[in-house]
Amino acid sequence: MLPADPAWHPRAAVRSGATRAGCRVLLAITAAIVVLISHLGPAGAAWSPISAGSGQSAARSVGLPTATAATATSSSTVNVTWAGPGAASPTPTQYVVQRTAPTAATVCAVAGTTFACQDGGLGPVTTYTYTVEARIGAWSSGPTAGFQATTPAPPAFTVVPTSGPRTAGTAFNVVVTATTDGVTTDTSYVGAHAVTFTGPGASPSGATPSYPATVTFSSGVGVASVTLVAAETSALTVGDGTRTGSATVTVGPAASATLAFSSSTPSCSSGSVTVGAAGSFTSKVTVYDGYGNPAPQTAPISITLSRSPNQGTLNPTSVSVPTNASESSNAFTYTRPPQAAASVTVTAARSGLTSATCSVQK
Amino acid sequence: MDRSASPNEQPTTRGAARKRKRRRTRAVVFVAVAVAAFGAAAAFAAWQVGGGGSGTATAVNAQNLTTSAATTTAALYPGITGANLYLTVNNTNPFPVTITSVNTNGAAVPDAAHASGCVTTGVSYATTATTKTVPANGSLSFTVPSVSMSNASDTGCQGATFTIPVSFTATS
Repeated sequence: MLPADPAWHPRAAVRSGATRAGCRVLLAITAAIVVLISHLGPAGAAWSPISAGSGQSAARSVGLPTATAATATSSSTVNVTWAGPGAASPTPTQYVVQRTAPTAATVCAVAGTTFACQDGGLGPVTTYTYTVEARIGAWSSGPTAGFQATTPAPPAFTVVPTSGPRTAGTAFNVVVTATTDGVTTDTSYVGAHAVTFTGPGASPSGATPSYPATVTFSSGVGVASVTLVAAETSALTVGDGTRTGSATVTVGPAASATLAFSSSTPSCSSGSVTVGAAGSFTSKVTVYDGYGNPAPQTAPISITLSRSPNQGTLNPTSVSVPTNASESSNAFTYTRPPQAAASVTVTAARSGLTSATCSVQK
Repeated sequence: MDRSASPNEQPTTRGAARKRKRRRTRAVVFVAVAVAAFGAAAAFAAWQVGGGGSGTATAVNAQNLTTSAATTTAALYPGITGANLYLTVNNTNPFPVTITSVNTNGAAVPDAAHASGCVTTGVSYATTATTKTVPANGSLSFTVPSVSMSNASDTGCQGATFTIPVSFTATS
């Protein structure tokens, strides 16, 4: 700062000792300013504004999985496959496969490097719908359009008895075919396989069916010799633990073999009846085969009745079994006389057949 | 200056030398004062940031930098780090300004179309040193690779453009 004295003059100031001191101060201030300026550099270089503003940054979107497909690999499993989204999408870190129909479930949630998973525990011959979703963090692509697969029928046997009448006690063949889906022959099913036969029952006389323990298959086809004994229509089921199959089999009675009293009053199933002193026994007669199956007749037959000892009355002395029937169309009655022996045996007989007897007791 | 007017002047050789020295001293003093005064004035003028009210077109009154919407390329997704922040910085000063740091200055905001579905943006920006010179009376577009997005980002943030507040440290 220069002195404000209007009388001041530099020349005079120079001459003045006091002014010389002021000059030294002025020099010092000037030097300080110069030093300050040199330290700061050019005046503008010291500008340090903090200005506010903003920038922009944009987000991408997760693309939908591509190439989705579902393939039934068995009657109970479906394999789901897909590919990643297009290049415009960031790489997903996870895929989630959902089954949406007929029952909803999360099939799998796998890492972004996996592109397949399997749905199991499914039912056969059912169409299933799936979707796949790509995820990155909390981002989701949303589900793809649904895609479907239909499970096939399970592996099975087809069972076909040989044609023609089948009679009790007579072996017949059953053709057993292994299939992959109930239709397509599984030609890889070869060799001897342990199979089980079930269905037909035992005969009335207690005889049981006869089945082979194993069946030998060639290109998926095997033949089993089966002997059934019950005259009936039943389901013959064949199984190997994985496959099953069945067929309806009708077995007729074997040849007529025995006679038996039927529709009796009182019943003579035990071989004897007690009717009292003047009581009676009324019954029809039925024809059976050797396994106890009723044996319908192809033509009418007559059955002769008798009593022993020859006491009491027997009316009629014969009954007739009509065509296609195994039981006589008419009944007979044996009546004891009061003085008859304690036991009178009534017999029904026909040539070639085992007779039926009943002890009628007082 | 007329040395003969001085009543104390000694016409000796030593006195003449002293006078010459004084003259030099005076000259240095005046030059220094002039330079210092000019420099100080210039420096004072350059430090004015956003100051105003003078109404004069004082070229040396510095103006704050401003930004305008930048053209972006979508890059953010959950888990990414080091994504670009796109900036367009405007300098209305008649001298170039060098940005030395782009600083965090608030939370990222999604565009209006995504605002309702993008509540948790997951977007963050880290203060980043840089050296970008915005030309005098000009603009500069540049990127700073310091944007991140966490896995918490809402799925509704897909496709959003985020405005990320920043401040600049700059020198001229």
